[in-house]
Amino acid sequence: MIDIKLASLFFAGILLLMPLAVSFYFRLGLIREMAFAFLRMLVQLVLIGFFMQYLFYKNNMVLNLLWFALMIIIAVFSVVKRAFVDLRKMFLPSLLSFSISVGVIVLFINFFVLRLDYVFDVRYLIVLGGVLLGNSMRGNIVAINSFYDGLRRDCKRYLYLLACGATVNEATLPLLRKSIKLALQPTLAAMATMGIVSLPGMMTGVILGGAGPMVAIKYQIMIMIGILSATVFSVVLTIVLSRKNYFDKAGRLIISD
Amino acid sequence: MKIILRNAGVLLPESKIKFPNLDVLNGQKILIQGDSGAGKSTLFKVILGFERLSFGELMINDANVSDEDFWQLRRKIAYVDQDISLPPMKAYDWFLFLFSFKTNRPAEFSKAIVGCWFDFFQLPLNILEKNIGNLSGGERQRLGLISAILLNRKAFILDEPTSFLNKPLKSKASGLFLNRSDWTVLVCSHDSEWMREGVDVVPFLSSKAGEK
Repeated sequence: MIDIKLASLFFAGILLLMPLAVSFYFRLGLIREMAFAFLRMLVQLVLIGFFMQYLFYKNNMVLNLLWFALMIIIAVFSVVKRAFVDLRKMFLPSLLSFSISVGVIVLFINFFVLRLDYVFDVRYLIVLGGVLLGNSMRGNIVAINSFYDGLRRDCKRYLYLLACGATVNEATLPLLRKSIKLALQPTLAAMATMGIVSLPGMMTGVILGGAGPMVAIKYQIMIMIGILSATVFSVVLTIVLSRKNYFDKAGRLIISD
Repeated sequence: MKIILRNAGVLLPESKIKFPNLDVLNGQKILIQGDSGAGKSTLFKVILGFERLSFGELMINDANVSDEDFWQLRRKIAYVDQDISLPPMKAYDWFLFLFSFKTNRPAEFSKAIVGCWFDFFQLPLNILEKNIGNLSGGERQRLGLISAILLNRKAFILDEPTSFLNKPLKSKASGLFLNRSDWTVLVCSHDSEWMREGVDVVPFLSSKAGEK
């Protein structure tokens, strides 16, 4: 793969003049924001670049797993913040859910599909794991939001089902179904239009990395299956594990906000 | 089953609801009458364990109820709520869902039995294929009543159960519930069809005014 010389990267920088000019001409007021976003990206990427280089150089199991754990924790906080749920009720369930679902699937892929001798290899554990985690995270935000928001809005319906003799699990089943479906929609849509509408990032990466298109599509098929299963697995786990924190012994909904 | 309510009530942020004393015995029919907003629906929610009592006593079979007891109670009582909160699904799927609950599985359920009750309540059978979300209030109310009956329970809590029905149907529905000697019925309604012989009327006056 062709390396980009630092000096050449400045030429890419010239392209930045285009959005700046548009913002200036149309008075979008985005110049400050653009500059800030760009600088932030620059700092983050440089730091992560050095850090990853160190990680790749060491390729130590404990270090890789620690980094993976940190990624999961950041994903958990992101889910809690964006799904507008209570951290105390959601932290442990989503931590467990992500660790189990993404962990199991990435190791499964490394062991059975890629047949790595060393399943904790940073190249696969962190990179593949990151793709799975990012996608599950998005699915979880949608699902958790839909589930608990639906419960709050449809509280009467939930209580009516309890009166019909339902347990908490039975009464929340329609909502659970709806939330899982909703979380899977983007992945299913991406899957169905794959290669035509969206040229997937994983494929682009593999091709730019110097491999042929046939290798690229095999990786893409693998990662799509991984994303779909990790999303379903983690969404179900997060809701099932967190659900009991939202009801008291009589099945009343505990609303904290 | 015996339900007793003594000097009980609920404190709300800006007011207080004081419930009338109640003694609900097996086979009894009780009609709660009172002003709108007095707290009749809240009273029913307390008995079903959806709202907590702030003061007073709720006793089932002469014992104070704990949070866990409500699960048992809910399996014995069929409830029709004021808004008929059936989930938005195809009516037939709703019945399948209702009878998929573990407690309801033994209850007898078939298209033929549903058909009989649809007939009784003058509902066309094609409603079964429609989404409940698109039905009118009267149609949903009848579905709610049919659901309660199909559950094959002996006690009923009915919150304005005939408000959307026409006169002849109000009379037919109230007759059905009140004439069964083995059914215990706790109902609140503004419809005069529920005022019959053998029905105990309990007045529930609004306690909100004047009290803090």
